[in-house]
Amino acid sequence: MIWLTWRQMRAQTLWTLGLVAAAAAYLIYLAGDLRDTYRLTITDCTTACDDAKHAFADAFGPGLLLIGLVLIAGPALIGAFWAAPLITRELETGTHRLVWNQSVTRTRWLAVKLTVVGGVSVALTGGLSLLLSWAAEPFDGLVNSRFEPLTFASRDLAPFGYALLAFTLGLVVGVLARRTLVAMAVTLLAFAAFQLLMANAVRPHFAEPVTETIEWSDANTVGQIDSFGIGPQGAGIQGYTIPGAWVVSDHITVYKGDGTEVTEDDITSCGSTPDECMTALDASFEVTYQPADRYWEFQWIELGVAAGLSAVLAGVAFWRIPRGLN
Amino acid sequence: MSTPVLSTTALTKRYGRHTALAETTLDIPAGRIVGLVGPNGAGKSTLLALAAGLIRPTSGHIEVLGRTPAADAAQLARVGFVAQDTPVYAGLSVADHLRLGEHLNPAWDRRFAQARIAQIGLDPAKKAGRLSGGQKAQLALTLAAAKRPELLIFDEPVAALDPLARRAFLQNLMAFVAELDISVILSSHLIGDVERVCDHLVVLAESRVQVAGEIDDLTANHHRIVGPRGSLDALPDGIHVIAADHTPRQSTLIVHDTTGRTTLDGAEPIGLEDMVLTYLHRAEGLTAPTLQETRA
Amino acid sequence: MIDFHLEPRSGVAPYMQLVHQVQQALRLGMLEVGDQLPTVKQVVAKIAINPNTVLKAYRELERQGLVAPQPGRGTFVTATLADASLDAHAELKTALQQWIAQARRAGLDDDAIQALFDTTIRKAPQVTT
Repeated sequence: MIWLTWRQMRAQTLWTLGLVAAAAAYLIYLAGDLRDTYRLTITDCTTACDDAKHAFADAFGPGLLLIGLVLIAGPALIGAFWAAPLITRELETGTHRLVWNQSVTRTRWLAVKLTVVGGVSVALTGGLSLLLSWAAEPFDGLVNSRFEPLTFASRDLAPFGYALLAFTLGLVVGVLARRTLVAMAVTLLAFAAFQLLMANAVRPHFAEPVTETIEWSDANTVGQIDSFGIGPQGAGIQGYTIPGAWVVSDHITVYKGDGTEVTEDDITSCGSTPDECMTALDASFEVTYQPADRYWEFQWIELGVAAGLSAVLAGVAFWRIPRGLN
Repeated sequence: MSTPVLSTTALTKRYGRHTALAETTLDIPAGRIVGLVGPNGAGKSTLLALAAGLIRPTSGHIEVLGRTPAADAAQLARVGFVAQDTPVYAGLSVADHLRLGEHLNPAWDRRFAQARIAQIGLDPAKKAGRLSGGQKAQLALTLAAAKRPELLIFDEPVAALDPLARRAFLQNLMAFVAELDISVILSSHLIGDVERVCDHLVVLAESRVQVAGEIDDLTANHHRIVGPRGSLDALPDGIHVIAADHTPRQSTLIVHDTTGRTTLDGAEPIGLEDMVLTYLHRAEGLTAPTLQETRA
Repeated sequence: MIDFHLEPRSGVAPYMQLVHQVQQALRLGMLEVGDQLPTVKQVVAKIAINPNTVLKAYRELERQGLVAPQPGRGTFVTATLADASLDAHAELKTALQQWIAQARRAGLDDDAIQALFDTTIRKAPQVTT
């Protein structure tokens, strides 16, 4: 059974292995270059260190992002091109009637397909993920935004779960749709929907976020205000970042010491720079965020959610296939 | 009495609202070559797929060699199945198919398989996708037989083959049966082939079994009676009229003598093909046009 | 050795066709005592018929005392039909030729003669029993 699975998947596997090997080679080269540059321009930095950091981020960001995107798209492609045709191709050519009448039960046949092909998918994706996480370590440490969706989804444990989920998804969609092209399209769409949903709607709720009141005077010590606006609607912060943490609030209202909102009039009547005015007004604001030390907890939950969904999907396949398709 | 190869009780398979097989009760003894005949869509493939365990019945019961079809690996090993159009993996070579068979079947007979392939004249290195229809059928037959099953099931094995390949396939199949001592169930719409190779017949039409039994018994007990109009109205007990055709002056009956020993005046033997056609026409609710043509 | 063939449209059961072919060969002297009949495997591989049919035909021939199986070797001819019936052939043939000539004089064409012969021979068993 394992021999047959390998024989059927040989071409695709070698092809994919080639791509993964190319990505891995590039990553290893990038990791060396990145570390050398880091030592030279950051560790040994004497002057204009902030500029050096920006230059470093600009230099290595795109390459790492590219591999990260490959890692995010990879599972979807595996689901569509490996898993979906795994059963539909047999159904379309009628060969399921050949293979299901050898002395191997359909349950075992499915178990081998799932374990071998699914295992290879997870191993390749996960391996690349670990390699990327290692290669990008100095960069991620410097940029310190590991909750950023594209980073979170392409580092450490998350890709293992995605690969597993995309694979079982493709397989089950194939069993239900029975048509290769339909199954491929549905798998791609469904998996993209899953990733968007996770990043935007589900992941922020993995744990109850922390809400903290920050005095204006501490605003740029705790984190960093990306932009601040004052208008007829009052004063608000658009984009507040805390190093390593995931700020959930997107528009932050600023309050005066007496608990009322800072208004445009407050600033105009103040006469000084807005920053001094705010400090004088004893301003503060509330920020809701997931602290940096929850990163690994979130990675595990992300993996768990994907693995749990995969188990449900695998259950569907193991329920459906022995019941017969003709 | 050994276990029947196929035994069904009120076996029914529905796809949504369409009934593919209705209330089928059958008992097929071991050691036979069974011909399953009937028009397209009669339920032949459904019955065979149920016997192979590819699908499960909607209701009713089916046992193959005394057990639920495809219940486990041991049961799968006892039944060889060749589906319609004899599917093979187009991208795999003939030798790959033999390796597949060897990997997936504990009782695989390698020498037998290799000898067969050599005898048919298949190139082991050739991709199965490049084989002719006849060669594909022979390869599928070899795969199914080399696992050394007790029962071989074929769904329309020769339908897509030219006459020469068809004959070669049947020759090979019969040689297997003589050599391996196995039971065979095959469906076909070619009654001539069935008459040649089968000794047991099941006629399926409109999702139901019309008649089943040993071919020699069936042909011996079905008669055509021609007589003056009205002379055939009263028939002895146990004589079932399958078809009746009347002209103003004469009546032609096709009868089944279920007693197996009644002597009937004016009874003539009827060939297997005419007998089968009579049942098929009856199932369609028509009188047999062939009879009108020949007897009017 | 005898070569079997099968006429699918004859209406005669396949096993009886084999029996008739052996009887015919015995009558015409093409098979003699001690000759071997082909094995079941040889027959089925040659003309693609059910092995049971061949077995049944051989059993019927055995019942008629014409052949006998020798375990491990095959089935052999033990009697012949040639002597008596071959002698009768010439006489019957002459009678048939005369009958055909008579039928033609009566205005029957060959098809009509054939039809008459066929229906008569088919009804014959009922006449004699």
